[in-house]
Amino acid sequence: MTTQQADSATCPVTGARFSADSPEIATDFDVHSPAVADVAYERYAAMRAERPVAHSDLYGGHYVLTRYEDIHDVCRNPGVFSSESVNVPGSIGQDGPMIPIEVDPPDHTTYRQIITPLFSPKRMRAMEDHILEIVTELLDAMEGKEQVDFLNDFAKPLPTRVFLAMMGWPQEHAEQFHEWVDVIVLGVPGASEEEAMEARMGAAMQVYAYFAEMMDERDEQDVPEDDITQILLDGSFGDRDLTQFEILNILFLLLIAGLDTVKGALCHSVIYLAEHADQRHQLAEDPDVIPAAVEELLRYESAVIPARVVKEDVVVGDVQLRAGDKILIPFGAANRDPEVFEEPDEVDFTREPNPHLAFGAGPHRCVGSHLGRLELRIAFEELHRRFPDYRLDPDRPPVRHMSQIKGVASLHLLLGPA
Amino acid sequence: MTDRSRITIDRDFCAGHGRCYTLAPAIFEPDDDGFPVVVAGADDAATEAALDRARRNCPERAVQVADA
Ligand code: HEM
Ligand code: SF4
Repeated sequence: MTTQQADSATCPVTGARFSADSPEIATDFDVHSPAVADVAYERYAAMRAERPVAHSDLYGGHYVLTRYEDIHDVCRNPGVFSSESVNVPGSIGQDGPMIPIEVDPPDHTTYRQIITPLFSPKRMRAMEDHILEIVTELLDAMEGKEQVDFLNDFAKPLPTRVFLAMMGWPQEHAEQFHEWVDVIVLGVPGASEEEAMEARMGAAMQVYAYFAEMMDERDEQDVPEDDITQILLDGSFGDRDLTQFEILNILFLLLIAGLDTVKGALCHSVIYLAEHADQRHQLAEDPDVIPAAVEELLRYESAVIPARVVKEDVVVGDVQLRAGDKILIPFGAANRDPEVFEEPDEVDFTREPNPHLAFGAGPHRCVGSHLGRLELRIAFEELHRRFPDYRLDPDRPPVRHMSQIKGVASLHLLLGPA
Repeated sequence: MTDRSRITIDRDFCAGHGRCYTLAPAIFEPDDDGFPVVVAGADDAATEAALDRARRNCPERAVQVADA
C-alpha cells in the first residue's frame, strides 16, 4: 500500500515531502487539451518517472496519478477517495449526481444491486445474436467500397443501436443520440470553457426531456417488457420505488458511459490493427485469439480518465493530499506502468498476466464491461473475417482527441490489400 | 491437483469483472449477476494452468488458492 492515513503534525512520520504547491510535483497536464491526444502516453511515462503524484493548477487545481498501484489503491478505497464528482471541471451538464458513478457506498451498493443484473453475462449472451445482426448490417454496407468512414459508418452506430435495443427505444433515434453525446462528452471543440458548458447543459436537458418522453410512453402503453427502461421503472431502492429523478440520472449515465467508450475502443484498436498487418491477420486466421486481443487492446488504449475527491488528509507516495482535493486517475497511465506490465508500450496478444484496469477496479468497476467486451469481440470477429485487409487513408489521417474519455474524432480507412 | 475447497473468491474485493470465469470456465461460473461461483477444482495440468491464469489476471486480486 502506498496510501496511509496522514497526520499533518508529524509530517516526517508520514513520509510526505511535498504538497500541492511544491514546484517539484508541478505539471501542466491538461486532460482536455487537443495537443495532449497524440502524446498522452509519453506524458504519463514522464510523469510516472519524475512525479508520479503530480499537481496541476488547471480547472481549479487537481492531482494526476500515473502509477498502477496508486490508481488501484484509490479505486479500492472509496471511503478516502470519493466518487462524488468524477469530472474535471466538476460538471458535464448532469442534473445532480450521476447514478451510480457519483455515489459512494453504501448507497452505491444499493444502486448497483439494481443496475448490475441489467448487464449480467446471462442477459448479454441473450443479446449476442442481435449484436451480430447489427454488426452484419453495418459491414454489409461497407462491402464493395474502397474507402470507409469507420467512425461514422461503424464505430458510432454499433454501440448506439445496441443501446437503443436494450432500452427498447426506436432505432431511428440513433443519429440524434450521437449529436447529444458528442456535445456532452466533448463540449464544443475550440470554444471557451463557459460556452462549452452552456452547450453541454443544453444537450443534457434535451436528453432528459427525451428520456422523460420515453418513460411517459410506457405509462400510457402499459405493456410490461423486459427491457432496461421497464426494469428501472419497476425498480426499487430498498423499500421504496426509484424516483423519476433517479431513473433519469441512471439513464443519463448509461448513455454517457456506454456509447463513447465502445466507440473509442473500436477506433483506437482499428488504428493500431490497420498499421500492424501481422497481428491483424492473426485475428482473421485464428479468431480464438480475439478475446485475449480485446483485453490487450483495451489495456493499450484505456480511454477513461475519471476523477476522485479526497475525503480526509492522506499521503500518496510522498505527497500530502488534503480533504477536498481532486485527483485524476487515468487508467491509461496505470495500464502502461512498467512495474506491472513488461514492455508496456508493446501490444502482445499473449501477454500474461494482464490484470489491466481498462474497466476500472473496486466498487465502480464498469457495469457494462460484459457488454463492452461482447460488442468488441463480435465486431473484431466479423470485421476481420470479412475485411482482413485495411489501411489508414494517407490523405485523411486519423484524429484523436482528449477529454475524460480519450477518443477518436476522425478515422478513414482504405479497404483491401495495399 | 487443487481441490475445489482450496479455491475461494474474496467477496470483499471481487467486483464481478469476470476474467476468472472467462479464463477458467471449468472452475468458475457466473451467477445471475455476473459474480463467480467456484464449481470445480483443478485436476489436470490444463485446468491448473487456467486456474493460475484466472488468479493472476483478476484485477481485484480476489481469486485465492489456499496452500495444500
Ligand atoms: C469498452 C468499453 C468500456 C470501457 C473501456 C468502460 C470503462 C469504464 C470505466 C473505467 C469505469 C469506471 C469509472 C470510475 O471508476 O470512475 C466505468 C464505469 C461505468 N461504465 Fe463503463 N466502459 C465501457 C463500456 C460500458 C458500457 C457498454 C456501459 C453500459 C451501457 C457502461 C456503463 C458504465 C457505468 C454505468 C459505469 C459506472 C459504474 C459505477 O459507478 O458503479 N460502460 N466504465
Ligand atoms: S476476475 Fe476477480 S473480480 Fe472478476 S469476477 Fe473473477 S474474482 Fe471477481
